[in-house]
Amino acid sequence: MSGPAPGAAAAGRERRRGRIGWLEQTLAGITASIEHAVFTEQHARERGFLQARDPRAKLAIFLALVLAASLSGSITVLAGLYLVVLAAAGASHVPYRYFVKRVWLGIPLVAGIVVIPALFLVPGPRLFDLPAGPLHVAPSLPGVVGGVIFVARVGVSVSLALLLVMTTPWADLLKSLRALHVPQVFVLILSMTYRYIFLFLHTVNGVLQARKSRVVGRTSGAEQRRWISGTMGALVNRAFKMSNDVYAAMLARGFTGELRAYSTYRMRTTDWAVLAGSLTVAAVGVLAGPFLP
Amino acid sequence: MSAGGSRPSHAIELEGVSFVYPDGTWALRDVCLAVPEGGRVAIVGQNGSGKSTLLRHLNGLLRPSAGRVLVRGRETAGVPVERIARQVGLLFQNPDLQIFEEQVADEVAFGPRNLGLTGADLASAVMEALEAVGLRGLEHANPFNLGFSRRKLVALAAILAMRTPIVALDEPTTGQDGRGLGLVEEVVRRLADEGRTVLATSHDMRFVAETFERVVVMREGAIVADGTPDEVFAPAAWEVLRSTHLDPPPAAVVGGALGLGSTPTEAQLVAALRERDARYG
Repeated sequence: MSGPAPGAAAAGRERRRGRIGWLEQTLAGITASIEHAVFTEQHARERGFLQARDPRAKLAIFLALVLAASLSGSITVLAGLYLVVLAAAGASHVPYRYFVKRVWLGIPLVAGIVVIPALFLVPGPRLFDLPAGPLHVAPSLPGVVGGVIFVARVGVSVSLALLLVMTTPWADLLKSLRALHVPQVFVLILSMTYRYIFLFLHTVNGVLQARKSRVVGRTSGAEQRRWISGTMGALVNRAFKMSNDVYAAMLARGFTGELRAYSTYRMRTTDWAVLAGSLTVAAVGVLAGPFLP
Repeated sequence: MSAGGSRPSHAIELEGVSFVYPDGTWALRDVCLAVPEGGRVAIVGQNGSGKSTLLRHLNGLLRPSAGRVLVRGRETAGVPVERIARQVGLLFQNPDLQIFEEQVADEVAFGPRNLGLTGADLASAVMEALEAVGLRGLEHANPFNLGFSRRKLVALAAILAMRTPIVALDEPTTGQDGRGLGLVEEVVRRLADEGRTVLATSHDMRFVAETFERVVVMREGAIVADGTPDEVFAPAAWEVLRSTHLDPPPAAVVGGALGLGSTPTEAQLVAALRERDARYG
Protein backbone atom coordinates (compact mmCIF):
# COMPACT_ATOMS: atom_id res chain seq x y z
CA MET A 1 0.00 0.00 0.00
CA SER A 2 2.18 2.81 -1.16
CA GLY A 3 -0.26 5.45 -2.31
CA PRO A 4 -2.44 7.71 -0.21
CA ALA A 5 -5.69 6.28 1.14
CA PRO A 6 -8.67 6.86 -1.23
CA GLY A 7 -10.64 8.70 1.48
CA ALA A 8 -7.77 11.12 2.07
CA ALA A 9 -7.44 11.80 -1.67
CA ALA A 10 -11.15 12.54 -1.94
CA ALA A 11 -10.96 14.80 1.08
CA GLY A 12 -8.01 16.59 -0.49
CA ARG A 13 -9.92 17.21 -3.76
CA GLU A 14 -12.93 18.47 -1.82
CA ARG A 15 -10.71 20.77 0.23
CA ARG A 16 -9.13 22.27 -2.88
CA ARG A 17 -12.56 22.99 -4.27
CA GLY A 18 -13.41 24.71 -1.00
CA ARG A 19 -16.58 22.72 -0.46
CA ILE A 20 -15.74 21.10 2.76
CA GLY A 21 -15.50 22.33 6.33
CA TRP A 22 -12.59 21.85 8.68
CA LEU A 23 -14.51 19.28 10.72
CA GLU A 24 -15.21 17.12 7.71
CA GLN A 25 -11.57 17.42 6.64
CA THR A 26 -10.39 16.27 10.04
CA LEU A 27 -12.80 13.37 10.25
CA ALA A 28 -12.20 12.28 6.68
CA GLY A 29 -8.46 12.33 7.37
CA ILE A 30 -8.79 10.31 10.57
CA THR A 31 -11.12 7.79 8.93
CA ALA A 32 -8.83 7.44 5.94
CA SER A 33 -5.82 6.85 8.19
CA ILE A 34 -7.62 4.22 10.25
CA GLU A 35 -9.05 2.63 7.13
CA HIS A 36 -5.53 2.54 5.78
CA ALA A 37 -4.35 0.91 8.99
CA VAL A 38 -7.09 -1.70 8.69
CA PHE A 39 -6.18 -2.32 5.08
CA THR A 40 -2.63 -3.07 6.14
CA GLU A 41 -3.98 -6.53 6.97
CA GLN A 42 -3.57 -7.05 3.23
CA HIS A 43 0.16 -7.34 3.91
CA ALA A 44 -0.49 -9.63 6.84
CA ARG A 45 -2.26 -12.04 4.47
CA GLU A 46 0.63 -12.19 2.01
CA ARG A 47 2.98 -15.12 1.87
CA GLY A 48 6.18 -13.61 3.17
CA PHE A 49 8.93 -14.46 5.60
CA LEU A 50 7.43 -12.84 8.69
CA GLN A 51 3.85 -13.71 7.76
CA ALA A 52 4.80 -17.38 7.92
CA ARG A 53 6.17 -17.09 11.45
CA ASP A 54 4.21 -17.93 14.55
CA PRO A 55 2.78 -14.67 15.96
CA ARG A 56 4.06 -15.47 19.45
CA ALA A 57 7.58 -15.79 18.05
CA LYS A 58 7.16 -12.49 16.21
CA LEU A 59 5.98 -10.72 19.34
CA ALA A 60 8.93 -12.10 21.34
CA ILE A 61 11.35 -11.03 18.58
CA PHE A 62 9.79 -7.58 18.51
CA LEU A 63 10.14 -7.16 22.28
CA ALA A 64 13.75 -8.38 22.27
CA LEU A 65 14.81 -6.08 19.44
CA VAL A 66 13.00 -3.06 20.87
CA LEU A 67 14.73 -3.73 24.18
CA ALA A 68 18.09 -3.95 22.39
CA ALA A 69 17.41 -0.67 20.56
CA SER A 70 16.39 1.03 23.79
CA LEU A 71 19.47 -0.13 25.67
CA SER A 72 21.91 0.61 22.90
CA GLY A 73 23.85 3.85 22.87
CA SER A 74 25.72 3.01 19.68
CA ILE A 75 24.69 4.42 16.32
CA THR A 76 26.41 1.45 14.63
CA VAL A 77 24.24 -1.03 16.53
CA LEU A 78 21.10 0.97 15.77
CA ALA A 79 22.03 1.16 12.08
CA GLY A 80 22.66 -2.60 12.12
CA LEU A 81 19.27 -3.26 13.73
CA TYR A 82 17.58 -1.04 11.17
CA LEU A 83 19.24 -2.98 8.35
CA VAL A 84 17.89 -6.20 9.90
CA VAL A 85 14.41 -4.62 9.99
CA LEU A 86 14.68 -3.54 6.35
CA ALA A 87 15.84 -7.01 5.29
CA ALA A 88 12.91 -8.61 7.15
CA ALA A 89 10.49 -6.11 5.55
CA GLY A 90 11.85 -6.94 2.10
CA ALA A 91 11.56 -10.68 2.70
CA SER A 92 7.98 -10.13 3.85
CA HIS A 93 6.96 -8.22 0.68
CA VAL A 94 6.35 -4.99 2.58
CA PRO A 95 6.71 -2.07 0.14
CA TYR A 96 9.91 -0.22 1.15
CA ARG A 97 8.75 3.22 0.07
CA TYR A 98 5.58 3.11 2.14
CA PHE A 99 7.34 1.48 5.08
CA VAL A 100 10.24 3.94 5.25
CA LYS A 101 8.09 7.00 4.53
CA ARG A 102 5.51 6.11 7.16
CA VAL A 103 8.16 5.86 9.87
CA TRP A 104 10.56 8.65 8.97
CA LEU A 105 8.08 11.35 8.00
CA GLY A 106 6.52 11.37 11.44
CA ILE A 107 9.49 10.76 13.70
CA PRO A 108 11.39 14.03 13.13
CA LEU A 109 8.24 15.88 14.11
CA VAL A 110 7.70 13.99 17.36
CA ALA A 111 11.13 12.76 18.49
CA GLY A 112 12.94 15.74 16.89
CA ILE A 113 10.94 18.26 18.91
CA VAL A 114 11.65 16.35 22.11
CA VAL A 115 15.43 16.43 21.55
CA ILE A 116 15.76 20.06 20.44
CA PRO A 117 16.40 21.41 23.98
CA ALA A 118 19.04 18.70 24.57
CA LEU A 119 21.01 19.94 21.55
CA PHE A 120 21.71 23.19 23.36
CA LEU A 121 21.56 22.21 27.01
CA VAL A 122 23.95 19.26 27.08
CA PRO A 123 27.42 20.55 28.05
CA GLY A 124 30.37 19.94 25.76
CA PRO A 125 32.26 21.44 22.83
CA ARG A 126 30.07 23.45 20.46
CA LEU A 127 29.65 22.38 16.84
CA PHE A 128 29.30 25.99 15.71
CA ASP A 129 28.22 29.30 17.20
CA LEU A 130 25.73 31.30 15.19
CA PRO A 131 24.87 34.72 16.61
CA ALA A 132 21.18 35.59 16.21
CA GLY A 133 20.73 39.03 17.74
CA PRO A 134 21.07 38.78 21.50
CA LEU A 135 21.02 34.94 21.29
CA HIS A 136 23.60 32.43 20.14
CA VAL A 137 22.60 29.24 18.28
CA ALA A 138 25.34 26.88 19.47
CA PRO A 139 24.47 23.18 19.61
CA SER A 140 26.88 20.99 21.52
CA LEU A 141 28.51 17.94 19.95
CA PRO A 142 27.36 15.52 22.73
CA GLY A 143 23.85 17.03 22.43
CA VAL A 144 23.72 16.41 18.69
CA VAL A 145 25.09 12.86 19.06
CA GLY A 146 22.59 12.14 21.84
CA GLY A 147 19.77 13.57 19.70
CA VAL A 148 20.73 11.47 16.69
CA ILE A 149 20.89 8.34 18.84
CA PHE A 150 17.52 9.12 20.40
CA VAL A 151 15.86 9.68 17.00
CA ALA A 152 17.51 6.51 15.66
CA ARG A 153 16.23 4.50 18.65
CA VAL A 154 12.71 5.78 18.14
CA GLY A 155 12.96 5.13 14.39
CA VAL A 156 14.11 1.53 14.86
CA SER A 157 11.48 0.85 17.53
CA VAL A 158 8.65 2.34 15.47
CA SER A 159 9.85 0.44 12.39
CA LEU A 160 9.78 -2.79 14.38
CA ALA A 161 6.28 -2.05 15.67
CA LEU A 162 5.03 -1.18 12.19
CA LEU A 163 6.57 -4.30 10.72
CA LEU A 164 4.94 -6.44 13.40
CA VAL A 165 1.51 -4.89 12.82
CA MET A 166 1.82 -5.04 9.03
CA THR A 167 2.77 -8.71 8.97
CA THR A 168 0.46 -10.02 11.68
CA PRO A 169 -3.35 -10.11 11.63
CA TRP A 170 -4.77 -8.19 14.57
CA ALA A 171 -6.54 -11.25 16.02
CA ASP A 172 -3.27 -13.19 16.03
CA LEU A 173 -1.48 -10.32 17.68
CA LEU A 174 -4.05 -10.23 20.44
CA LYS A 175 -3.80 -13.96 20.95
CA SER A 176 -0.03 -13.57 21.25
CA LEU A 177 -0.56 -11.00 23.99
CA ARG A 178 -2.64 -13.59 25.84
CA ALA A 179 0.20 -16.09 25.40
CA LEU A 180 2.44 -13.57 27.17
CA HIS A 181 -0.11 -13.49 30.02
CA VAL A 182 -1.33 -9.97 29.34
CA PRO A 183 -4.63 -9.70 31.31
CA GLN A 184 -7.73 -10.85 29.43
CA VAL A 185 -9.65 -7.65 30.20
CA PHE A 186 -6.92 -5.51 28.70
CA VAL A 187 -6.75 -7.62 25.52
CA LEU A 188 -10.53 -7.60 25.16
CA ILE A 189 -10.78 -3.83 25.55
CA LEU A 190 -7.97 -3.35 23.04
CA SER A 191 -9.64 -5.69 20.60
CA MET A 192 -13.08 -4.07 20.80
CA THR A 193 -11.64 -0.55 20.61
CA TYR A 194 -9.76 -1.39 17.45
CA ARG A 195 -12.74 -3.08 15.87
CA TYR A 196 -15.31 -0.44 16.64
CA ILE A 197 -13.40 2.78 16.26
CA PHE A 198 -13.53 2.23 12.50
CA LEU A 199 -17.24 1.47 12.45
CA PHE A 200 -17.91 4.42 14.73
CA LEU A 201 -15.97 6.79 12.48
CA HIS A 202 -18.05 5.57 9.57
CA THR A 203 -21.14 6.44 11.58
CA VAL A 204 -19.76 9.90 12.26
CA ASN A 205 -19.02 10.38 8.57
CA GLY A 206 -22.54 9.19 7.73
CA VAL A 207 -24.00 11.77 10.11
CA LEU A 208 -21.85 14.48 8.55
CA GLN A 209 -22.83 13.52 5.03
CA ALA A 210 -26.50 13.38 5.99
CA ARG A 211 -26.19 16.89 7.34
CA LYS A 212 -24.25 18.13 4.35
CA SER A 213 -26.90 16.80 1.99
CA ARG A 214 -29.52 18.92 3.77
CA VAL A 215 -27.54 22.15 4.04
CA VAL A 216 -27.80 24.73 1.29
CA GLY A 217 -25.10 27.40 1.23
CA ARG A 218 -22.49 28.17 3.83
CA THR A 219 -23.03 27.86 7.56
CA SER A 220 -21.40 30.16 10.06
CA GLY A 221 -18.69 28.96 12.44
CA ALA A 222 -20.98 29.49 15.42
CA GLU A 223 -23.67 27.41 13.78
CA GLN A 224 -21.17 24.65 13.00
CA ARG A 225 -19.92 24.61 16.59
CA ARG A 226 -23.49 24.43 17.93
CA TRP A 227 -24.22 21.52 15.62
CA ILE A 228 -21.00 19.75 16.61
CA SER A 229 -21.76 19.95 20.33
CA GLY A 230 -25.25 18.53 19.72
CA THR A 231 -23.90 15.78 17.48
CA MET A 232 -21.23 14.82 20.02
CA GLY A 233 -23.92 14.17 22.62
CA ALA A 234 -25.96 12.12 20.17
CA LEU A 235 -22.91 10.11 19.17
CA VAL A 236 -21.96 9.30 22.76
CA ASN A 237 -25.53 8.06 23.22
CA ARG A 238 -25.29 6.02 20.04
CA ALA A 239 -21.91 4.57 20.99
CA PHE A 240 -23.28 3.52 24.36
CA LYS A 241 -26.28 1.83 22.74
CA MET A 242 -24.05 0.19 20.14
CA SER A 243 -21.71 -1.19 22.80
CA ASN A 244 -24.69 -2.69 24.65
CA ASP A 245 -26.06 -4.25 21.47
CA VAL A 246 -22.70 -5.65 20.39
CA TYR A 247 -22.15 -7.17 23.80
CA ALA A 248 -25.65 -8.68 23.71
CA ALA A 249 -24.87 -10.18 20.30
CA MET A 250 -21.66 -11.67 21.71
CA LEU A 251 -23.49 -13.16 24.69
CA ALA A 252 -26.09 -14.58 22.32
CA ARG A 253 -23.29 -16.55 20.69
CA GLY A 254 -22.08 -18.08 23.91
CA PHE A 255 -19.40 -15.52 24.83
CA THR A 256 -18.22 -15.99 28.42
CA GLY A 257 -15.43 -13.41 28.50
CA GLU A 258 -12.70 -15.71 27.16
CA LEU A 259 -11.20 -14.81 23.78
CA ARG A 260 -10.75 -17.78 21.49
CA ALA A 261 -8.84 -17.21 18.25
CA TYR A 262 -9.82 -19.23 15.19
CA SER A 263 -6.29 -20.11 14.10
CA THR A 264 -4.41 -22.69 16.10
CA TYR A 265 -0.72 -22.00 16.41
CA ARG A 266 2.25 -24.30 16.54
CA MET A 267 5.86 -23.22 16.84
CA ARG A 268 7.80 -24.91 14.06
CA THR A 269 11.55 -25.46 13.89
CA THR A 270 11.94 -22.40 11.64
CA ASP A 271 10.08 -20.26 14.18
CA TRP A 272 12.39 -21.41 16.95
CA ALA A 273 15.43 -20.81 14.73
CA VAL A 274 14.32 -17.28 13.78
CA LEU A 275 13.53 -16.53 17.42
CA ALA A 276 16.93 -17.80 18.55
CA GLY A 277 18.68 -15.83 15.79
CA SER A 278 16.87 -12.63 16.73
CA LEU A 279 17.62 -13.04 20.41
CA THR A 280 21.28 -13.52 19.52
CA VAL A 281 21.25 -10.37 17.38
CA ALA A 282 19.62 -8.45 20.24
CA ALA A 283 22.12 -9.79 22.79
CA VAL A 284 25.12 -9.07 20.56
CA GLY A 285 23.78 -5.56 19.94
CA VAL A 286 23.47 -4.83 23.64
CA LEU A 287 26.81 -6.38 24.60
CA ALA A 288 28.85 -4.98 21.71
CA GLY A 289 27.28 -1.50 21.87
CA PRO A 290 29.68 -0.02 24.45
CA PHE A 291 32.67 -0.95 22.23
CA LEU A 292 31.26 0.55 19.03
CA PRO A 293 30.86 4.19 17.95
CA MET B 1 -32.04 -24.45 33.26
CA SER B 2 -34.52 -25.60 35.85
CA ALA B 3 -37.13 -28.16 34.92
CA GLY B 4 -40.39 -26.52 34.05
CA GLY B 5 -42.51 -29.62 34.11
CA SER B 6 -43.81 -29.00 30.58
CA ARG B 7 -44.02 -31.30 27.59
CA PRO B 8 -40.52 -31.82 26.22
CA SER B 9 -41.95 -31.98 22.67
CA HIS B 10 -42.07 -28.18 22.70
CA ALA B 11 -38.97 -26.36 21.59
CA ILE B 12 -40.27 -23.02 22.80
CA GLU B 13 -43.08 -22.10 25.18
CA LEU B 14 -44.09 -18.63 26.23
CA GLU B 15 -46.60 -18.60 29.04
CA GLY B 16 -48.36 -15.29 29.63
CA VAL B 17 -45.23 -13.33 28.80
CA SER B 18 -45.39 -9.57 29.16
CA PHE B 19 -42.50 -7.17 28.83
CA VAL B 20 -42.22 -3.50 29.69
CA TYR B 21 -39.19 -1.45 28.63
CA PRO B 22 -37.64 0.85 31.26
CA ASP B 23 -39.31 3.86 29.58
CA GLY B 24 -42.72 2.30 30.31
CA THR B 25 -43.43 1.01 26.79
CA TRP B 26 -45.35 -2.25 26.80
CA ALA B 27 -43.66 -4.37 24.15
CA LEU B 28 -45.34 -7.70 24.92
CA ARG B 29 -48.75 -8.29 26.49
CA ASP B 30 -49.66 -11.69 27.88
CA VAL B 31 -48.12 -13.61 24.98
CA CYS B 32 -48.76 -17.36 24.94
CA LEU B 33 -46.97 -19.34 22.25
CA ALA B 34 -45.90 -22.95 21.96
CA VAL B 35 -43.65 -24.07 19.13
CA PRO B 36 -43.11 -27.81 18.69
CA GLU B 37 -39.67 -29.28 18.02
CA GLY B 38 -38.89 -28.95 14.33
CA GLY B 39 -41.58 -26.31 13.82
CA ARG B 40 -41.25 -23.51 11.27
CA VAL B 41 -42.94 -20.37 12.54
CA ALA B 42 -43.02 -16.89 11.03
CA ILE B 43 -43.84 -13.93 13.22
CA VAL B 44 -45.28 -10.96 11.34
CA GLY B 45 -46.64 -7.59 12.31
CA GLN B 46 -46.09 -3.89 11.86
CA ASN B 47 -42.92 -2.19 13.11
CA GLY B 48 -43.00 -1.93 16.89
CA SER B 49 -45.47 -4.79 17.27
CA GLY B 50 -43.07 -6.70 19.56
CA LYS B 51 -41.59 -9.25 17.13
CA SER B 52 -37.92 -8.55 17.89
CA THR B 53 -38.62 -8.19 21.60
CA LEU B 54 -40.25 -11.62 21.53
CA LEU B 55 -37.24 -13.19 19.79
CA ARG B 56 -34.84 -11.64 22.32
CA HIS B 57 -36.75 -13.42 25.08
CA LEU B 58 -35.97 -16.79 23.54
CA ASN B 59 -32.29 -16.73 24.48
CA GLY B 60 -32.61 -14.64 27.62
CA LEU B 61 -31.29 -11.34 26.26
CA LEU B 62 -34.53 -9.92 27.59
CA ARG B 63 -36.32 -11.37 30.61
CA PRO B 64 -40.11 -11.20 30.92
CA SER B 65 -41.65 -8.65 33.25
CA ALA B 66 -44.37 -11.25 33.82
CA GLY B 67 -44.91 -14.84 32.72
CA ARG B 68 -42.25 -17.38 31.84
CA VAL B 69 -40.21 -18.64 28.88
CA LEU B 70 -39.34 -22.30 28.48
CA VAL B 71 -36.75 -23.61 26.06
CA ARG B 72 -37.05 -27.31 25.36
CA GLY B 73 -39.09 -27.79 28.50
CA ARG B 74 -36.80 -25.85 30.83
CA GLU B 75 -37.49 -22.43 32.23
CA THR B 76 -34.92 -19.81 31.27
CA ALA B 77 -35.28 -17.64 34.39
CA GLY B 78 -31.90 -17.24 36.05
CA VAL B 79 -30.04 -19.10 33.30
CA PRO B 80 -27.19 -17.07 31.77
CA VAL B 81 -27.53 -16.11 28.11
CA GLU B 82 -24.35 -17.95 27.15
CA ARG B 83 -25.91 -21.21 28.36
CA ILE B 84 -29.20 -20.66 26.56
CA ALA B 85 -27.11 -19.86 23.46
CA ARG B 86 -26.30 -23.58 23.24
CA GLN B 87 -29.98 -24.15 22.47
CA VAL B 88 -31.06 -20.97 20.69
CA GLY B 89 -29.12 -19.16 17.96
CA LEU B 90 -30.38 -15.61 17.40
CA LEU B 91 -29.75 -13.64 14.22
CA PHE B 92 -29.87 -9.93 14.92
CA GLN B 93 -31.83 -7.59 12.68
CA ASN B 94 -28.83 -5.29 12.15
CA PRO B 95 -25.74 -7.28 11.14
CA ASP B 96 -23.45 -4.42 12.16
CA LEU B 97 -24.40 -5.03 15.78
CA GLN B 98 -23.46 -8.66 15.48
CA ILE B 99 -20.32 -8.61 13.35
CA PHE B 100 -17.07 -7.55 15.02
CA GLU B 101 -14.31 -9.76 13.65
CA GLU B 102 -12.03 -8.66 10.81
CA GLN B 103 -12.36 -11.83 8.82
CA VAL B 104 -15.52 -13.57 7.69
CA ALA B 105 -14.24 -16.97 8.88
CA ASP B 106 -13.35 -15.57 12.32
CA GLU B 107 -16.79 -14.02 12.61
CA VAL B 108 -18.54 -17.26 11.69
CA ALA B 109 -16.27 -19.23 14.03
CA PHE B 110 -16.93 -16.99 17.04
CA GLY B 111 -20.14 -18.74 18.19
CA PRO B 112 -19.13 -22.38 17.66
CA ARG B 113 -15.75 -21.64 19.25
CA ASN B 114 -17.50 -20.37 22.36
CA LEU B 115 -19.59 -23.54 22.37
CA GLY B 116 -16.38 -25.56 22.52
CA LEU B 117 -15.82 -26.57 18.90
CA THR B 118 -12.18 -26.76 17.86
CA GLY B 119 -9.96 -28.04 15.07
CA ALA B 120 -11.56 -29.91 12.20
CA ASP B 121 -15.05 -29.75 13.74
CA LEU B 122 -14.82 -25.98 13.94
CA ALA B 123 -13.46 -25.64 10.42
CA SER B 124 -16.20 -27.88 9.05
CA ALA B 125 -18.94 -25.95 10.90
CA VAL B 126 -17.59 -22.67 9.49
CA MET B 127 -17.27 -23.93 5.91
CA GLU B 128 -20.66 -25.63 5.97
CA ALA B 129 -22.34 -22.42 7.18
CA LEU B 130 -20.55 -20.28 4.59
CA GLU B 131 -21.54 -22.74 1.88
CA ALA B 132 -25.17 -22.57 2.99
CA VAL B 133 -25.30 -18.80 2.55
CA GLY B 134 -23.25 -18.74 -0.66
CA LEU B 135 -20.19 -17.04 0.85
CA ARG B 136 -17.65 -19.81 0.32
CA GLY B 137 -14.46 -18.21 -0.97
CA LEU B 138 -14.88 -15.09 1.15
CA GLU B 139 -13.45 -16.63 4.31
CA HIS B 140 -10.61 -14.11 4.49
CA ALA B 141 -12.60 -11.05 3.46
CA ASN B 142 -13.20 -8.27 5.97
CA PRO B 143 -16.96 -8.35 6.67
CA PHE B 144 -17.02 -4.57 7.01
CA ASN B 145 -15.90 -4.30 3.39
CA LEU B 146 -18.90 -6.33 2.18
CA GLY B 147 -22.26 -4.85 1.21
CA PHE B 148 -25.21 -4.90 3.59
CA SER B 149 -26.89 -8.00 2.12
CA ARG B 150 -23.65 -9.99 2.33
CA ARG B 151 -22.99 -8.76 5.87
CA LYS B 152 -26.43 -10.02 6.73
CA LEU B 153 -25.55 -13.40 5.21
CA VAL B 154 -22.30 -13.46 7.21
CA ALA B 155 -24.35 -12.86 10.36
CA LEU B 156 -26.70 -15.67 9.32
CA ALA B 157 -23.78 -18.04 8.70
CA ALA B 158 -22.43 -17.15 12.15
CA ILE B 159 -25.67 -18.40 13.68
CA LEU B 160 -25.91 -21.51 11.48
CA ALA B 161 -22.38 -22.55 12.42
CA MET B 162 -23.48 -22.84 16.05
CA ARG B 163 -25.72 -25.75 15.00
CA THR B 164 -28.24 -24.97 17.72
CA PRO B 165 -31.50 -26.98 17.78
CA ILE B 166 -33.50 -23.73 17.74
CA VAL B 167 -32.77 -20.88 15.33
CA ALA B 168 -34.41 -17.47 15.70
CA LEU B 169 -34.00 -15.12 12.75
CA ASP B 170 -34.85 -11.44 13.11
CA GLU B 171 -35.73 -10.06 9.67
CA PRO B 172 -33.42 -12.39 7.70
CA THR B 173 -34.72 -11.15 4.34
CA THR B 174 -34.16 -7.42 4.89
CA GLY B 175 -31.85 -5.97 2.24
CA GLN B 176 -31.64 -9.21 0.27
CA ASP B 177 -31.92 -9.38 -3.51
CA GLY B 178 -33.54 -12.34 -5.29
CA ARG B 179 -30.48 -14.53 -4.85
CA GLY B 180 -30.11 -13.70 -1.19
CA LEU B 181 -33.81 -14.30 -0.61
CA GLY B 182 -33.53 -17.69 -2.28
CA LEU B 183 -30.56 -18.57 -0.07
CA VAL B 184 -32.44 -17.60 3.08
CA GLU B 185 -35.47 -19.66 1.99
CA GLU B 186 -33.21 -22.62 1.31
CA VAL B 187 -31.52 -22.23 4.70
CA VAL B 188 -34.88 -22.26 6.50
CA ARG B 189 -36.02 -25.36 4.60
CA ARG B 190 -32.77 -27.16 5.25
CA LEU B 191 -32.94 -26.38 8.97
CA ALA B 192 -36.48 -27.76 9.05
CA ASP B 193 -35.37 -30.88 7.17
CA GLU B 194 -32.70 -31.41 9.81
CA GLY B 195 -35.43 -31.30 12.45
CA ARG B 196 -34.34 -27.95 13.87
CA THR B 197 -36.91 -25.41 15.04
CA VAL B 198 -37.00 -22.12 13.14
CA LEU B 199 -38.69 -18.89 14.17
CA ALA B 200 -38.34 -15.82 11.96
CA THR B 201 -39.77 -12.35 11.78
CA SER B 202 -40.35 -10.82 8.37
CA HIS B 203 -42.26 -8.18 6.43
CA ASP B 204 -41.97 -10.23 3.25
CA MET B 205 -45.32 -11.97 3.03
CA ARG B 206 -44.38 -14.03 -0.01
CA PHE B 207 -41.34 -15.43 1.86
CA VAL B 208 -43.56 -16.14 4.86
CA ALA B 209 -46.31 -17.83 2.84
CA GLU B 210 -43.93 -20.03 0.89
CA THR B 211 -41.42 -20.96 3.57
CA PHE B 212 -43.25 -21.39 6.87
CA GLU B 213 -45.88 -23.83 8.08
CA ARG B 214 -47.28 -21.49 10.70
CA VAL B 215 -47.75 -17.73 10.87
CA VAL B 216 -48.19 -15.71 14.06
CA VAL B 217 -49.50 -12.16 13.62
CA MET B 218 -48.65 -9.58 16.27
CA ARG B 219 -50.13 -6.18 16.96
CA GLU B 220 -49.15 -3.87 19.81
CA GLY B 221 -47.32 -6.63 21.69
CA ALA B 222 -50.11 -9.20 21.50
CA ILE B 223 -50.79 -12.16 19.23
CA VAL B 224 -53.88 -11.41 17.15
CA ALA B 225 -53.79 -14.36 14.73
CA ASP B 226 -52.06 -17.72 14.68
CA GLY B 227 -52.47 -20.40 12.04
CA THR B 228 -51.19 -21.96 8.87
CA PRO B 229 -50.36 -19.61 5.98
CA ASP B 230 -53.57 -20.85 4.34
CA GLU B 231 -55.60 -19.68 7.32
CA VAL B 232 -53.76 -16.44 8.04
CA PHE B 233 -53.74 -15.28 4.40
CA ALA B 234 -57.33 -16.38 3.71
CA PRO B 235 -59.72 -13.51 2.86
CA ALA B 236 -61.46 -13.94 6.23
CA ALA B 237 -58.24 -12.94 8.00
CA TRP B 238 -57.32 -9.97 5.78
CA GLU B 239 -58.99 -7.52 8.11
CA VAL B 240 -56.78 -8.67 10.99
CA LEU B 241 -53.70 -8.50 8.73
CA ARG B 242 -54.55 -4.98 7.60
CA SER B 243 -55.15 -3.88 11.18
CA THR B 244 -51.43 -4.39 11.70
CA HIS B 245 -50.53 -2.66 8.39
CA LEU B 246 -49.77 -5.88 6.50
CA ASP B 247 -51.10 -6.88 3.11
CA PRO B 248 -51.68 -10.50 2.13
CA PRO B 249 -49.22 -11.71 -0.51
CA PRO B 250 -50.40 -11.11 -4.12
CA ALA B 251 -50.57 -14.89 -4.68
CA ALA B 252 -53.11 -15.14 -1.83
CA VAL B 253 -55.27 -12.41 -3.37
CA VAL B 254 -55.17 -13.90 -6.89
CA GLY B 255 -55.49 -17.45 -5.54
CA GLY B 256 -58.51 -16.44 -3.48
CA ALA B 257 -60.18 -14.90 -6.56
CA LEU B 258 -59.49 -18.05 -8.60
CA GLY B 259 -60.68 -20.41 -5.88
CA LEU B 260 -57.18 -21.84 -5.29
CA GLY B 261 -56.93 -20.99 -1.61
CA SER B 262 -54.53 -18.48 -0.09
CA THR B 263 -51.19 -20.18 -0.72
CA PRO B 264 -51.26 -21.34 -4.35
CA THR B 265 -47.99 -22.22 -6.05
CA GLU B 266 -46.84 -20.28 -9.08
CA ALA B 267 -47.56 -23.32 -11.28
CA GLN B 268 -51.12 -23.61 -9.94
CA LEU B 269 -51.77 -19.93 -10.60
CA VAL B 270 -50.43 -20.11 -14.17
CA ALA B 271 -52.47 -23.25 -14.90
CA ALA B 272 -55.65 -21.71 -13.49
CA LEU B 273 -55.15 -18.49 -15.47
CA ARG B 274 -54.51 -20.46 -18.70
CA GLU B 275 -57.62 -22.54 -18.11
CA ARG B 276 -59.65 -19.42 -17.48
CA ASP B 277 -58.16 -17.83 -20.59
CA ALA B 278 -59.04 -20.87 -22.68
CA ARG B 279 -62.57 -21.00 -21.30
CA TYR B 280 -63.42 -17.34 -21.79
CA GLY B 281 -61.20 -16.60 -24.78
